Amino acid sequence: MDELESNLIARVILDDDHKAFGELVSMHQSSIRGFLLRLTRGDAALADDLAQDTFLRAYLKIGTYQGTGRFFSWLARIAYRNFLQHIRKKRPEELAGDPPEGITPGFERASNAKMDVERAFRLLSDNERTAITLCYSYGMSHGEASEVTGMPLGTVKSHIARGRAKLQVELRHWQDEMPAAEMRKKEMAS
Amino acid sequence: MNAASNPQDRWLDNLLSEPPAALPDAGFTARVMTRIRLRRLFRPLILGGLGLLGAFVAMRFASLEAMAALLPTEKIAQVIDALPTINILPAPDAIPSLPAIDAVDFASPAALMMVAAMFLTWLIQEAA
Repeated sequence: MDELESNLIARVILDDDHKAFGELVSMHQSSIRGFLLRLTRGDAALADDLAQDTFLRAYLKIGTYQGTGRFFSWLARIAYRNFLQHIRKKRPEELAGDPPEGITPGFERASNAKMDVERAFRLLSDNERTAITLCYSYGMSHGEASEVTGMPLGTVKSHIARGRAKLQVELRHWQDEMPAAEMRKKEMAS
Repeated sequence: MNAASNPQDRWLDNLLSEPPAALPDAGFTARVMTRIRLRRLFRPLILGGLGLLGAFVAMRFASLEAMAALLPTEKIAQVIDALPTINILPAPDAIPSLPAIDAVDFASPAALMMVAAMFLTWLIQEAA
C-alpha cells in the first residue's frame, strides 16, 4: 500500500474525512467496478449498483481495516460478499438465464481476442470466474484470493485449473493462430 | 502462477493477465458520496423527528393544563367525589405552580420558530 493511500485511509478512520474517502473511491472505482462487471457477466447496471453498495459498506466498516494486505483486496472481499448476497436473493431460473447481451462500457475498444475472452468468461461458473479474475487480472496470489473469497486454498487452485481448461477450449482458434503470428513478427524483427 | 510450458498456454496466461479496461468515473464517485451523505443525514433526522414529537406532546400537555385551569373548581370537585375509593386527582388548589413553566408560552409562534431554527442549524452541521 503506498503512502498516499495509507494517509487517506488514516484520515478517514481518525477524522471521518469525506474528501479523503472520495479520493479512495476515485482511486479504486475502476478496479472494483471491473471486478464486479466480470462477476455479473457484463451486467453494467448491476455491477455499478453492487459497486456503490461496496463503497458504502467500506465507509461504514473502514474502522475494521487493519492495514494487513492491500486495501484493494479488502474492498474486493466486500464486493465479492455483496455479489454473493445478490445471487442468493435471485431465483434459480433467473440465475440460469443467458448473460446480458448489451455492450458493456470499456469493452467496446478492446481487441477482438479480448472481447472473445470476455465472452468466454461468461461461460465459466461464478467461482471459476472469480478465482481467475482475482489471480490473473488483478495479480493476486492464491492465498490472497482465498482470503477474499473465503474459499480454501486448494479450492481456489481447482477453480483456476478448471476455468483455465474451459477457456482454452473456448479460445482454441485464437490460441492456434496468435502464437504463430507472434513467431512471424519475431522472425521479421530479427 | 506456474509458468506455462507451451506457447499457447503462455499466450492464454498473458491474455488473462492483462488488466481489465479502465472504466471512466462518469459521476460514480459523486453518486457514492451522495449516498454516504444521505445516510449520515438519516440518523439525525430520526432523532430530530423524535425530538419534535416530544416537543409537540409537551405542548399539548401544556394546553391541557391551561384548559384544566379554566374549569370551575366545583366541577372538578364533583369528579373527585365521584371516585370515592380511588382518589388519583389532587384538589385543584393543591397542584403546585411552577413559575418557570407558567412563564413559557409553548404555543407561541416565536417559540416554535426558534425551535425550528435550532433544529435546522443542527441538521446542517450534522450533514456538513
